Amino acid sequence: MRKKSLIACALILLVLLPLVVKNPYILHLVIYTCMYSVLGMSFSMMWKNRLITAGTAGFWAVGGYTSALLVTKLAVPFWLAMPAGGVASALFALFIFSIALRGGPLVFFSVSLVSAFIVMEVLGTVSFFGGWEGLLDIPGPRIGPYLFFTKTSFYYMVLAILVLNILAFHALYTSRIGRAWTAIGSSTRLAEVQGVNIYRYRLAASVIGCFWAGVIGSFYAHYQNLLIPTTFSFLCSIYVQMYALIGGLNYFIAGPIVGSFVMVFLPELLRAGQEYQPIFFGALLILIIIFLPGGLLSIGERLPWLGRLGGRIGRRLRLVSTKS
Amino acid sequence: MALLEIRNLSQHFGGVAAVSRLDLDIFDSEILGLIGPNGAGKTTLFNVISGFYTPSTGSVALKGERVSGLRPDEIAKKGIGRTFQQTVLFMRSSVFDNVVTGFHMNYTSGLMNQFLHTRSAKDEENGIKKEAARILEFMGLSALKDELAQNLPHGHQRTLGICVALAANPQLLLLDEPLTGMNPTETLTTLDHIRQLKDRGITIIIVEHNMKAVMSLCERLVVLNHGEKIAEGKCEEIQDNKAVIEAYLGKERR
Amino acid sequence: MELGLFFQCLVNGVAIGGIYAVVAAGLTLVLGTMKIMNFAQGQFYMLGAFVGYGLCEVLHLPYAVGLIAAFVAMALLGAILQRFVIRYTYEGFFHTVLATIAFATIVGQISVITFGKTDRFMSPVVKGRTVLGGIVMSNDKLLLIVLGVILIAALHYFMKTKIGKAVRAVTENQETAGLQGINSRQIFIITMAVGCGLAGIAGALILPVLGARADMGVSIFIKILLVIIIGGMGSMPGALLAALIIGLIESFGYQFVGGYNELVLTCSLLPLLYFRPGGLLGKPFAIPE
Ligand SMILES: Nc1ncnc2c1ncn2[C@@H]1O[C@H](COP(=O)(O)OP(=O)(O)O)[C@@H](O)[C@H]1O
Ligand SMILES: [Mg+2]
Repeated sequence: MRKKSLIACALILLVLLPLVVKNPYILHLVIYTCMYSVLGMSFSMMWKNRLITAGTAGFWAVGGYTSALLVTKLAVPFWLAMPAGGVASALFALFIFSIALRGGPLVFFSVSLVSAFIVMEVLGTVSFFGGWEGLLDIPGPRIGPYLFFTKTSFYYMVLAILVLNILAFHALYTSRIGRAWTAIGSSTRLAEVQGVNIYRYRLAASVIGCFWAGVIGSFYAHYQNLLIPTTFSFLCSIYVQMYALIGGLNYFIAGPIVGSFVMVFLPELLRAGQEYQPIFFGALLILIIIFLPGGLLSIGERLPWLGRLGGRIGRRLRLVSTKS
Repeated sequence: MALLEIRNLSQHFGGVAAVSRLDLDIFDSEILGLIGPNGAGKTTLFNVISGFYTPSTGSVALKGERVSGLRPDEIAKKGIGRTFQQTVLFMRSSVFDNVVTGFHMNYTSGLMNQFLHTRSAKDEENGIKKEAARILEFMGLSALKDELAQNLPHGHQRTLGICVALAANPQLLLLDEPLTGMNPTETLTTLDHIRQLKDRGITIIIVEHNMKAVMSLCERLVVLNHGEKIAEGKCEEIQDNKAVIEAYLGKERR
Repeated sequence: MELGLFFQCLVNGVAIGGIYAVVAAGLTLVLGTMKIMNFAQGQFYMLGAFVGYGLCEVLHLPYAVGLIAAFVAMALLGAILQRFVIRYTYEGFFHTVLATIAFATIVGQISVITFGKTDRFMSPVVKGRTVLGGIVMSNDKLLLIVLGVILIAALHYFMKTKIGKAVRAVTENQETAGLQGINSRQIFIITMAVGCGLAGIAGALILPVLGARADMGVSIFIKILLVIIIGGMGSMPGALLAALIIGLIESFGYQFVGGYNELVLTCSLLPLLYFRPGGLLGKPFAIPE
């Protein structure tokens, strides 16, 4: 119950956030955090099955381009185009992974990587998709008479997507489906002996994960108003993996969120040169893999005294009420 | 008719025949002991029966229906459960969750119901949780149900392995060295449990090196050596069987 | 098709395939023995090319020195990566893979900053061309093919030496190898050194033909991934065969399909995996639990 009230508080804070944060750039970063959280959770869903996708960006792109093309070329309303982006991405995943999964996790991994490259290559070379210069002038989302324009409105939209995503994933993870996924992730042999059809469950996880990557791709397209193929490069997929790992790979929902938050805001704080950022990220990642393989969220698990220490300092600073 | 019929079964790894031209019948509600020196092919036989390998030749049939060639999960659905020689559990889940996960096949409500956590899905879930608690009760692990599987002592982990296998509600249960790592008391209780399982109508094949335990448990023994069946029969017959003594002594001399 | 053009494509294909084969052989060695996918393999290839460039073009040392130095330098770097990073990523396959990716990112970015994104060409090693029955081939390309074959043969013989046998023992089963007194940690370092060294020397091999470029590592790595998927993960003969096939498809495809070549190649992967999930010569590869 304590957990539930905590989550309710967090949600209220998030809803009230735009009232406090007036700086549009910070709001922009928060929007990015939410986007990467959704991508990271999509990655995590596959990781729960010990599938490692290196192609998140490709599915993100499929969703974004589908939605953008539907809106610009066929004048489909946005609120239809967004789920359509998700469905397109899911169908693409179904096609690719139903084949790749026959070869096991390593083939899945490689094929996801290769297919993301195919996507980027196709988007760049085929002129219908706008070529390497990208797809420009994508209209902002419009639902009924309401046109999304301000950062605040986009913030609420992405927050809604994120919350829906979390609810859906939570429902899945606590059901028999999620238990089967956990079983696969824990021991494929034992899961099989207990009657779990590994192939089918893994395929389901990849398709569902990619659906949400597609949905957030659609959001991205209409938020940025343009899509450039090189955005969806290999590096982007790797960043998603990194964020999930930094947050904590065993926390399938909280991990990506915490990781994205830290990794979107940290470079801003450091204001490191754009050029040196990959080096910094790489080094940080290696350090975390070696010294904190469970991610930031595992700190609490590893060092129970840290939580108590935090409480004590908080009381000293009167951040936390002493009477509770 | 036999419950499980194994006919002319061979399993080759490269040049090695881990199981070779094996014929074997397992009858309803019996406990069959499968013994033989290390490397005799006992685990491999289990792996073939439960579908991890497609046999090089021959077939396995459950109640007259061919199961060799099916995937492990399909075979599990036909009613064959098993444990592993090296303890395999869902290590990061709690003892209780391990068993609940084991019930995977027993759900009937549709996936959509479960995703939406509808009333019927919840009822089913509760029913299964009760069942899981019953199994843990039966095997004597109730007190540890919230412990993580990886934190259990080894003997309890072996027991939990059997609990998980039982959750799938198998007709035929393959136990691969279930008593290793157990102390004498645990061994005795586990033997008792296995007998009770048999009384409930579960057919059991047990691989075990503890001869005393096997003798007290099984009516019938099968001895493997180098993948071949060298003897089969009642316990007393096996004890005096020349080929068997040779196989074991030969191993000691090496 | 004109016969001359055909042989031209053939030679080009074999040359490219040979490079893929050497890099993929290194990757496969590591993958098979350590059950690790080294994502930095492409960067070792790139660095090898720059080592060769620095020694042969800037310092005007003989090409042979460049080749050997590229191997040794990359072998050392690989050993360092193994000893100081990979050894400590005990959480499992994914952590190790991400660690090599992180390493690759660092190396790649440093190279882009230092070398820029321009091509560096080297003057020919063996000047001139060979004309054989109407086909014109640059001597460097022939040299590359010859050296590629020699390298693969050398790897083959390495696997028959005492160290190679130990590597094979560890590949088969780490525990039994341990019982035979083989120190698998040492073997891992050696394997990684040889694997990365092969990538380095391949970079130096391609240098006279295609030059060096800071982002060449990323583009070849995608090809190498294709090679080992098609060949079968961890299967050495499969990798070599697939490398040749891909080299040939690429060179002939470039003639016929042009820019869509890579697209066709990657898409053809799906039907292959459908019928042979383990690749041409491999079994489905299991990531250790
Ligand atoms: N996956 C495998 N690949 C190659 N050889 C195997 C494999 N599994 C088992 N073997 C071999 O088959 C033989 C029988 O092994 P096993 O069934 O484990 O014996 P047991 O369980 O009776 O001790 C052994 O010689 C073993 O080395
Ligand atoms: Mg055994």
